[in-house]
Amino acid sequence: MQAKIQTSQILNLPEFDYQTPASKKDAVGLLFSSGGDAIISAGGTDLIPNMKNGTIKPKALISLSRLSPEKESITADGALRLDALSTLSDIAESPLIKLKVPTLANAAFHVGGQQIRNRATLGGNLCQDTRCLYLNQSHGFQFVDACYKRGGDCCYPYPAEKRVCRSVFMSDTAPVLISLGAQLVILSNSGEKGVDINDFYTGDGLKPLKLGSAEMISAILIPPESQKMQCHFVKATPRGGLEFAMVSVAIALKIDGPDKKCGKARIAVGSINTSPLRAFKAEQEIVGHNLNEAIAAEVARKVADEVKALPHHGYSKGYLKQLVEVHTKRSLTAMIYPKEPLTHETSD
Amino acid sequence: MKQAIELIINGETHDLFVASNVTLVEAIRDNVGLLGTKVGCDMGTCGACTVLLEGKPILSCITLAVECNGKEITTIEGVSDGVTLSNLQEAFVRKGGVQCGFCTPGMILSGTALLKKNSKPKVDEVAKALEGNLCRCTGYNRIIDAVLDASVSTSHLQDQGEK
Repeated sequence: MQAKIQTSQILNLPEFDYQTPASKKDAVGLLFSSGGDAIISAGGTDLIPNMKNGTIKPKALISLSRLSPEKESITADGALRLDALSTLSDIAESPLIKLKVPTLANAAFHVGGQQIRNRATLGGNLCQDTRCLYLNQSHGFQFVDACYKRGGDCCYPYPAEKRVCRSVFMSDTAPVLISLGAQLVILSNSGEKGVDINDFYTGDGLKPLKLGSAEMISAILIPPESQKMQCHFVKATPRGGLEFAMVSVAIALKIDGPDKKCGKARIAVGSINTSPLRAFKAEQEIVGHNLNEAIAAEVARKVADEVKALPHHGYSKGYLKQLVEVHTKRSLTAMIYPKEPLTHETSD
Repeated sequence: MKQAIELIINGETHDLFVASNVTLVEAIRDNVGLLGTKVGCDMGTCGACTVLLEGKPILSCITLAVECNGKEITTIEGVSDGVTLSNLQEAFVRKGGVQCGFCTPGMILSGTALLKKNSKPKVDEVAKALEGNLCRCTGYNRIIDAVLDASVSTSHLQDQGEK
């Protein structure tokens, strides 16, 4: 007989009701009837740790584990349609995504480790909760008073401000989808609606998503003109693996002709504020110019001035601002002067 | 609220009766009694609890047992037959890829999944595949050497088989 040992549980997962709907429609139906007490779980790689450390306390979990994602496809009007339930591994390895929007595959490939990417979904990555060094501490920190986001009445990093949460939104795929001008298909009991991803994030650390309590992301559409733009994504991390970004920069440019005239630009910066930020003013500065190294340096400086960095995870505001400038400049330079493929083999 | 689930662990079907808040690693260790899978951080960071779910490495400490109902799971106990070690396990011994051993089950499973997908990985591909597994003893070099060594001996065996 197996002896009763309970050695495995270090952190307690609180009890909850568990439901496994057979379709997305049933899932939003259950979400609606729960009256805001339930939460959708897709991969659970963000949700379960947050439930373990007590940041989120749902009464019921609506698990999408029975549903399998639709394959990515091109719609009648040329948009690339991605199922929100596609895992990040699916996105990173899909030949169609690698061909049409390689930056998205690249961003997905740099989330967590392979164990995370095999479970985590694209929709879940866009809906992940904001993070803060204090909020997400698992062990000792739970024994101090709860902060605003945990339902308490204080903030450790910003003690002077009242009821403001400056936890940072750290999704890697969100800035890329912003640079690609993606549309989110949001499903609720009353049907589907399209939302521009620019309008999806509130900028409020307490409630970072503009998503109703009975809504979920069903699919992501990438318009055809974005698929023709040149794209670049860079994620700055201290070690280069299994990390949240210090700063991530996603850029999409339409570069025309031999004099490299910029026809259209979208620049998004992630992991430095309560939502991913878009550098609208700097984008206008670059459009219409013939691109060269001097323009890249100037625009990078303008992007760093425009997007406001919050100090997070031990990185100071000044350091993050510099990171934004350096990585924007490097990205733009790499896009303006793409590396020539090696055409001959060296012989000696 | 407990419910009956069926987990196919290392080819053997286990009928369990678990609460919805039981994680897969708790079910594997406490209900089934296979103690090879380790719990390090219990927060999905360290990779010590890595198991293969339908052949793909996942973190069993942040996966609910009820979500794995009817699915196939491979733990470290299922990598070898219990008598002879697998090719990768032998390479870990040969190359000194084991020190305290706590990360090893996760490393072996991540490495096994990599070699199944890519029989001749390059150094950076091995490092990328193992990025989700933390080791505080070896400095990773010997672990990466071991996976590369196993890939050489595996492809050598395959080449012989083809001839």
